[in-house]
Amino acid sequence: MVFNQGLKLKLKEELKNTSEILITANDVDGHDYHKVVKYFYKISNHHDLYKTGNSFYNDYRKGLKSFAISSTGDKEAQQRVILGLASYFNHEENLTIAIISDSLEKNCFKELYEQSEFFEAQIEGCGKKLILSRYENIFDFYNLSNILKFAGRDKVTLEYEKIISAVIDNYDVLFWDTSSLDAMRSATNVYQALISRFDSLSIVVNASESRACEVDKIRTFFLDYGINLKGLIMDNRKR
Amino acid sequence: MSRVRKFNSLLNDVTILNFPLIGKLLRRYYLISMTIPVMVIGVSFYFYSVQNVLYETNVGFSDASTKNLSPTNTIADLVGENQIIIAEEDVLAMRNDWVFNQKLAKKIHQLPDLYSLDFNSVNTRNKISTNILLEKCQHEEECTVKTLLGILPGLYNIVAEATPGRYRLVVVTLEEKTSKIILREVAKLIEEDRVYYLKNIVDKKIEATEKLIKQQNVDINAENMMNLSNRQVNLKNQIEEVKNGMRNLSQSIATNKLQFNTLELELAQFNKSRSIGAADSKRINYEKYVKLNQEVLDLRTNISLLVQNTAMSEYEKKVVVELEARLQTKLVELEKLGDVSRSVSGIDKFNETQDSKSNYTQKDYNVLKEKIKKEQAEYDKTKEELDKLQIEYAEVSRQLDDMKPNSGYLDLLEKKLISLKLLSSTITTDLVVDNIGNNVKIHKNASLSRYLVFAITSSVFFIFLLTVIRYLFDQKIYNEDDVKVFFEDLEVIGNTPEFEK
Repeated sequence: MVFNQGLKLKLKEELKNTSEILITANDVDGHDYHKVVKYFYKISNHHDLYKTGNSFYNDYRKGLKSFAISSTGDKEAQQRVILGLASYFNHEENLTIAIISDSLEKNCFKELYEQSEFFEAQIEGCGKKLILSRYENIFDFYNLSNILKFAGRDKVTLEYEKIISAVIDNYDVLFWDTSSLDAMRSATNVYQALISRFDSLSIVVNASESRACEVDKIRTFFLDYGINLKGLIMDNRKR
Repeated sequence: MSRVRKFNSLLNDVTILNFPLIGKLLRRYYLISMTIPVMVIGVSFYFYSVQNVLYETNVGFSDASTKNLSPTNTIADLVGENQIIIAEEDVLAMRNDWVFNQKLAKKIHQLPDLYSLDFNSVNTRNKISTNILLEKCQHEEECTVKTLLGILPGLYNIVAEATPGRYRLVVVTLEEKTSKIILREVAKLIEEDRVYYLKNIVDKKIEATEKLIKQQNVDINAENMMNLSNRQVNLKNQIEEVKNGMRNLSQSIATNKLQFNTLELELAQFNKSRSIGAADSKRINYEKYVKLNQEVLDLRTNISLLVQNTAMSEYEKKVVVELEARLQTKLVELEKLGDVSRSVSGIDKFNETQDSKSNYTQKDYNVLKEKIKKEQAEYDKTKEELDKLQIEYAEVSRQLDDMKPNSGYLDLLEKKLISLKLLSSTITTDLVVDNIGNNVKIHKNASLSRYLVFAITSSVFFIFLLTVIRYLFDQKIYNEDDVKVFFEDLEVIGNTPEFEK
């Protein structure tokens, strides 16, 4: 892991500048305007992605930006959905996109995460630096555990709040790869600050495996924090 | 709520069941669709294999009365009795008739090879020998019959065939010899029992008729009737005798009267001839006069004789009329001759001759007159007696006429009794059993194909039932349709993206 020093949040300007540089570079190379992730073209069911992505993109255009993706236990499917949506958003528009997950080193995030460039970001008003990894100047990956470090053991610290706010404010779109329900329940105070920042929640349902009661549990849990369930995303892959 | 929605999703307005969904469910719960048939077929095969081997034998029998072939009914027709017809229900009910089965049990009990027979039920799982079965009875007849009575009805059946009046006795046991013996005994008993039944009916009729005859005899006082009847016959004979006597008297009186008239005329002639001086010229007229007189006398006698008979026939009446006409003619001729007696010559000599005769005639005349008087008195007395007898005869006849309806009824009853006794002595069975063959069909209670049909049917039913139950209680989400069923307010945004490797 190689750290580049001196990245500050507010990151937005910096990321934009970087994008512009990259855009110029892409133009020179004769590539498309968007820095479309190669993963977008790896998607075999574009039609499905278009339908799902368009739904989220419409929400984004309505002003929503913090999208939480949960599941009934299939973390890999969660990550696929996030990666697909992030690719779609990037394909549609030149946006700063952050993906926050507690398992970046697993499943389909793993490859991208490993190929990412790591930065230490200085948050204003915070003594500690926040580590993030940037994949080809398109997506920024945040390890949720790095953010959670700023939270106190029993109660939420101001520093923690600031970091969450800084991360959310500095991106156009954020995709939250939510932790398991048990994990969130075990540290309600810590997660509460995060969950309350979600604009919408979608649940990935594994066909033939997920149970209605599990979906109901997740739905009820988030509903307690005022987060409405946007809808379900069907995962037909056999595990 | 989701279960109600699920149940509703199984129904369809047009086809009642939502067949596409059911098809989907059958594929989804394929384990049920595969396991149930295997299990049901396995169970069916097990039950097929553990069935007892059955020995079935049967014989047909006919109700002869339905085809007018019953000898009993033919005789009943001949003697004017009603035919006795057996209803199909009665034949079929024989199997459940306690008395019939008791007779059968007694017959079976009397068989020498009773203990070698197999009385186990066709569906039994635990076979026991007859020795053990009847062990508690210790060869006591009543107990054995009672035990067999509970078993035998389950070993045979009587079924109606398609042809009216045709039945089939079917015996099914677990042993060949038992089947044959029971078939033989039941067939024999069917014939015997029918004879017994018919005889019983006729005997009851005989008994009832005899009772009626006895009662009727009391009602009409047979002794009195007999006396009256005898009296009537006696009176009839007496009347006949009296009538004969009267007829004889009447004839005697008529004959005597004829003689009396003759004598009277003779006497009158004698008296006249005495006074007539006969002239030769008038002799012929006188002779004619005498001849006419004699003819008139004869005619009167004949008429008198005929009129004497009170019961004249038409012919006799005609003869009387004719005779009276002749008499009138003769009397007119006599009138025309006038008084010729005085013109007769030689009358003196004639008178002398006649005088001697006249004395005898007068004597006979007197005797005959007395005799006629006596006979007439006797005749009148007899007539009175005849009248009395006739009155008594009429009274006896009236009394017998009053008794006539009862006696007619009694006659009919007696005739009926004779008919019934004749019928009773000629009764034969109208349930005629065919020749008992030697064929024994060996099979199991239900065939393999029957079990297979049952297995397939029940498999389909259980697959459907369990699939529906599984679906109703299944909490898993399989597709978008399930999402709609579980969460009415949620939508499926799309499918997860798939990345090529």
